[in-house]
Amino acid sequence: MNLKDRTPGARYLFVIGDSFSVSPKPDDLAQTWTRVAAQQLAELHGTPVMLVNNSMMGVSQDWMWLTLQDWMAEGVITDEDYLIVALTHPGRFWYLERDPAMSNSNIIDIDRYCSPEECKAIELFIKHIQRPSLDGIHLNNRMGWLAYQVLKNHLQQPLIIKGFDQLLLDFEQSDVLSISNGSLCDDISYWEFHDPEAEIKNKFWKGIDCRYNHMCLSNHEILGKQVAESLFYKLPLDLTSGYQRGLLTPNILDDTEFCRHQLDLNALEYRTTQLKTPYFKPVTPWLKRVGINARNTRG
Amino acid sequence: MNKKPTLWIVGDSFSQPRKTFDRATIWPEITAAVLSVDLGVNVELVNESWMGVSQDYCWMYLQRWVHEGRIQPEDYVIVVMTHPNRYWYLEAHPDLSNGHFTLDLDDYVTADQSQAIKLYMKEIQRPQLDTIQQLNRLGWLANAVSQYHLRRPLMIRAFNFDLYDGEKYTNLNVAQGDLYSLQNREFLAADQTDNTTTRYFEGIDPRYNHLTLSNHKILAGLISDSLINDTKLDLTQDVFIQNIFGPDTMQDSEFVAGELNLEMVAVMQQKKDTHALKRNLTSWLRSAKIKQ
Repeated sequence: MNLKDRTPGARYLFVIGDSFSVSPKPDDLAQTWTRVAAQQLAELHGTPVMLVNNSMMGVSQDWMWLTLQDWMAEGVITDEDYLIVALTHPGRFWYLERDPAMSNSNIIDIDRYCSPEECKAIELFIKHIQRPSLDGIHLNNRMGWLAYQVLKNHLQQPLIIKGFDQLLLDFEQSDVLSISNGSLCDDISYWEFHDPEAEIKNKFWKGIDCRYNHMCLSNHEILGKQVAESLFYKLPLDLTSGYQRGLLTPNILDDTEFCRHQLDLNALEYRTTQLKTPYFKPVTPWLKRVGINARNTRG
Repeated sequence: MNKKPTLWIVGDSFSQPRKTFDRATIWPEITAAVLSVDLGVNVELVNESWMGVSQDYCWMYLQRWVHEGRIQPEDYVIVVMTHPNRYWYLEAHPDLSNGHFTLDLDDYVTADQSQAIKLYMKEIQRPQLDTIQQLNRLGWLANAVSQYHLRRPLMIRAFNFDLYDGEKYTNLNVAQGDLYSLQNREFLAADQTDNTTTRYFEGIDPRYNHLTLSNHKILAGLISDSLINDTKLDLTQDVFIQNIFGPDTMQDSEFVAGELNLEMVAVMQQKKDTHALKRNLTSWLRSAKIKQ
């Protein structure tokens, strides 16, 4: 996104984040929460609001902040624009430059994507170097950097939506950053399961989540509207109430009407094919295979 | 002024405090003393600098002091910024952040920890990541200045590296030049290279904070001016003593007694003859074939 690419007279909604905010494929017109938010903002303003969503599945906070640092250095965000940061877990780490999406040690087959030496480096980094106290220092620095950009460039208060529950220390009550109450994972995604505990054991999706951004589309609509109102009226965003719960009952995937209205049908088709293949079998996660007693592996 | 101001310092070997039994006066203490005289109140010095630490270790202190409300608007802050590629690998060993360990890393940590550090440097660490994190640190500090109405911290680079966009953060008072270049200028002009200190001192720098005591006084005077007047500190100016270390300088007992850390001079002389230095140890960085 360059300054010269801006549509004259339009406001922009910039979004950075991970799988909780990543855009559907361009030909998929599903009304995900980021799209709903941009449309709602346009209605509230009565002028176009263009969505620039640079989210990517599986990325770390460092990768997100590189994008933010580029945007700020290039001055593409103006004082009329909005900014949403869908904040991934601080325990994710951008291990290899070529693969920012591989920041999560919970990826079950991480060793398929890197050399044995790289895998060993990641394994030993998690076992011996990474720790919550260091992640906390980095997280605090990121929040402070963003707050300073807002002050320096006279930007609107960015909305920080927690993907996962995490403590933002001195910034939880910030006047400069608007921090969501609750998180997308713990307060919306998790409660969509009729039996959340079963999903923790990976029994529902069997590794292939067919929801857009890990949420059913009814909750996308609610979230998108709430986000737009939070940005427009400068209100706190509360993720802990008002969302639909228990939607994913044991046999719900047999309900074609439900699937059509709530899920990513392409992902569902892919999942069905995968589960039918004779060689599809659950893989022991890399984490367990290398004996990582994870302190930081959520997300 | 209601409260006596405090001078808070974080940094690495360029600012670490002297040992308690050592009576030499080094630049952080001289700065506090000059500030006390100029302000007419006793300025307390809190210096948490430590040889070999990383920026993260320094920011851990800054974050703690700010979070606990210990740094007040009347206080002064100096950040001696060590190199951004240092990493706080092991919580228990913040001083083992530097890839250029001259002796074997395995002497200090377990084999697994050593392997973790080596592989991190080989496979994961890169300037891009170091730069993202450094910019975040500078942004955090600049924000704290606004949020808590603090004086602009004086940022002194220990080494010559780029702060990128951070150079333009007006909430920070970034010094011109760096301390490594300043200490290098103490050697004869023809000898000023990247490994001058190693060649002269064989791994044990007998200077306090890598500077002769005469330059400590000059540095402290300039820093005090910069803090009181909130002006830019220029380490590149010609006011420092230069070209004073030559091949025979260590034979000049008067110079050694007046300018150097005598304890370290003794250690250096003793170690010159030991097997450890004679066998010319290859740094583990080189033996692990890590390029930085």
